[in-house]
Amino acid sequence: MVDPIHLVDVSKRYGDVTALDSVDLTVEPGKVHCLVGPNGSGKTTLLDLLLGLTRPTSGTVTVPDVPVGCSFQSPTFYPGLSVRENLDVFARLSGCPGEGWRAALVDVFDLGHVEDQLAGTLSGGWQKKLDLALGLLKRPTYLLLDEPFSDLDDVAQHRLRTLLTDYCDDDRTILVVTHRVSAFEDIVDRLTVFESGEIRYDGPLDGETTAREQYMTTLGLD
Amino acid sequence: MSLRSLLSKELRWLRRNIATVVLVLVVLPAIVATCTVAFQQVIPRDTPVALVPEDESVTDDEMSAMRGVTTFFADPHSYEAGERDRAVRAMTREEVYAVFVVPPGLLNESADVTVEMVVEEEMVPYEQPSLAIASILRFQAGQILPANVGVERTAVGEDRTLSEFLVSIGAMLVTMLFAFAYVPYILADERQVFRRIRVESSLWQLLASKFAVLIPLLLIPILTFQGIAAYLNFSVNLVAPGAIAVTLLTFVYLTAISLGIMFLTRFETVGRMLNVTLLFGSLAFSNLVYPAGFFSPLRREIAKASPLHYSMVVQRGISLKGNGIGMYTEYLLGLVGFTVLCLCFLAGSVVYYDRGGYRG
Repeated sequence: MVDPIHLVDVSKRYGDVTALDSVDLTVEPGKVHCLVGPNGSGKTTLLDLLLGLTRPTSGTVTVPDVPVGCSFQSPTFYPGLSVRENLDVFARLSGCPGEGWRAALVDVFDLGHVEDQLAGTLSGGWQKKLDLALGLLKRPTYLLLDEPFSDLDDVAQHRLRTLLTDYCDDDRTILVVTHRVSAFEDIVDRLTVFESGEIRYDGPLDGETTAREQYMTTLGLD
Repeated sequence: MSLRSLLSKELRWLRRNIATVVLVLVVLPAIVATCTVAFQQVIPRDTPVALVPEDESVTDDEMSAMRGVTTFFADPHSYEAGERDRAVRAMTREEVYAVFVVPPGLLNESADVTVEMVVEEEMVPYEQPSLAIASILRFQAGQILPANVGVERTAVGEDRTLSEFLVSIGAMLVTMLFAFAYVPYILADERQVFRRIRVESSLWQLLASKFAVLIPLLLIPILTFQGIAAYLNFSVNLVAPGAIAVTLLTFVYLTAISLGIMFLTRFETVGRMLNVTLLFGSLAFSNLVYPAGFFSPLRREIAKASPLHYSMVVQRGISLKGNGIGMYTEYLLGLVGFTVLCLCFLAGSVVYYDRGGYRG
């Protein structure tokens, strides 16, 4: 069994701006955990902390030593390489488990049509798909996704939702960061609501209250 | 109405980019205007030259007199009797650009003496000035010194054309352009992938791979220069191992500086402008073409403090003069030390960039 991710009393400040304030959070393995909150609530900063892209101003972040994959809000790939070349580069860099898995990702995200196009010339939706495929390439134990449905059409959203549902098991965890919880309602196991860098709610969904209802209630918007 | 809206947008753009705008429109012109003080005269009056007594019989007064005469057109450095070889070696290393062998009897009214002026054939831009200097010396000595002074100009080394001389400089210019303009451009172009690279690998690995590819790539322009030089029957050997080594070393330290600036400025436009400024500044003040001491003593001192000047001296010494790399051991050690410093600067700037986190 994989260890959980722990954040203990974590704060992150950029100059005078407090992005996160004394956050305690545990991300249990084998769950789809959704971090939700309005724009600027500190979600992306938390993701950066988990990925080691920035350091906490105070507190402790513990991420188990297992493969961690990610898809960013803004696509991150080589714009001057084709889709196929990007997949090749990052498959080698991150350690893709096999050609079959790579082919499955190309199929799920329908990237076969654009494999020879320069990644930088793709439209926003295709760029997002490529970024998601790159994040999944190494079949990570912890998959961290920042606004994974943004720019995706309905078909792509459906396919991704199916993939994520199948992906999550005892050893694989998905942490989704979003400001639109409704897109994930049917697959989320646990919800954490952020506001102004602080956690307002953190708990499992009991099946009676939807993620969106819990979110709206927490923020006093119902 | 739309024009007014767009004008207001331009004003907002000015406000948002005030650092770059101030750099381009205020700091750069101020620097360029200030730098003109380093260009004071066209005739080389501050070029370092060596004064060597012909033998032990030359007195201190005679050396002082010769020093006084040469001060009109050069920056004289005195050597001891018997140090002619050391002075010529200094000329080969471009520490001085001419060697004056001072004969005894300069202060003797009845004496006919000849001052030997030794210059290098390969230092093409100094050829015409050295002829002029010989004439000036002849005239000044006749006016000031009691003896009847003649000047004999001796050129050592191989005769080279200006084109041959410029080919070796061209290779260095391309190296500078590559380091200060092209490499920062290609890295900035890939900036969007840095976050994924930092997760899957590291910026250190990224930089290592860049250097591993770009350093051998630089051999292509060097080979191109050599190919053209061979086609034109130039006597230049840019592919001598020592010349290649110093060119690649130069590329490494210049690239470390330019990339360090890019990381420190987070790949903002201001970083590119700083690199362009450094490129032109290095061109203007490293005395790649003219001997140190042309234009002003200030420019000579700046050149002597510039590692690029020594890179050029070593590369030229090997590729144009055919000297062995051993002639420039101290210069090379200094360049290696400077390269290490530049790589430390790059490392520090990457750490700064890494710790800054994402603020987009």
